[in-house]
Amino acid sequence: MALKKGLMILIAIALILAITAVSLKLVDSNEVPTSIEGDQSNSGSGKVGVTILPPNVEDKLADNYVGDSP
Amino acid sequence: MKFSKEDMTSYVAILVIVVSIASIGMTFTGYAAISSKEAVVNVTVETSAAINFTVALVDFGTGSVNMDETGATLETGETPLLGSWTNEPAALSLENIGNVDITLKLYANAAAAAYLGGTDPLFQYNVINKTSNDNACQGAAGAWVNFATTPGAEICDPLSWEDTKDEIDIDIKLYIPVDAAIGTKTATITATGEYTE
Repeated sequence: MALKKGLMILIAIALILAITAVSLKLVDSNEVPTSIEGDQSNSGSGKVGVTILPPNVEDKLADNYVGDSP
Repeated sequence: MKFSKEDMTSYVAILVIVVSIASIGMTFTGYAAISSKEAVVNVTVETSAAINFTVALVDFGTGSVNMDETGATLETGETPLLGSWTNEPAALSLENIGNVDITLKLYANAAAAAYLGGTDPLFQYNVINKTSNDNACQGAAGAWVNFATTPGAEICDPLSWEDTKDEIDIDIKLYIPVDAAIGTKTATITATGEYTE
């Protein structure tokens, strides 16, 4: 009886190890990514901004008025 | 010599255990316990062309032409001439971030007349190698050139990909005539890089 029990344990261990070995083989990937596709061309863009106000105009009328005032 | 059924089962179980342990050991260590095998890994690094504006905005701000002047000149990195504007922006900067030399072209969405208006406006660029990037751009004019619209003008042939010489500055100059259209104006500058395999 003790001999049969030992045999059962041996078979159980053998089964567990066999399943583990097969699982590891299946999980282990042999595929290595080997290349990345290249671009033929590429572009980028920038911005140039400016805000234009009307030029300052000399107010000669106002100057004359200030000059003539007492 | 006679084997019982139990003996045979035991031997088979032991064999399975030995083979499984050897297989698991090879998986974890990468070494074959009994025999060696050779493997070849082929890696192909393909060319990739890519560019990036590391400084993508030139904003001169708000301002006007000085009184009694026919126009003002704005230039990146310089004080406005005959005009008064709020900003003194730095040049645009562009880098080749790919792994291959490229032919670089530049164009704007509008040339000077459409962008600024008025009498004889100017919208120009000047390409120079960025500091510590000598010889990055072969054929850099080093002079002011009028912006053209698409397909643009070739400015570097090639622009190098090597890290120590893959960046250029694009200075911008505007001449704003006194009769230029009033308002906020934005131009888009597009750079395209091409390589031939």
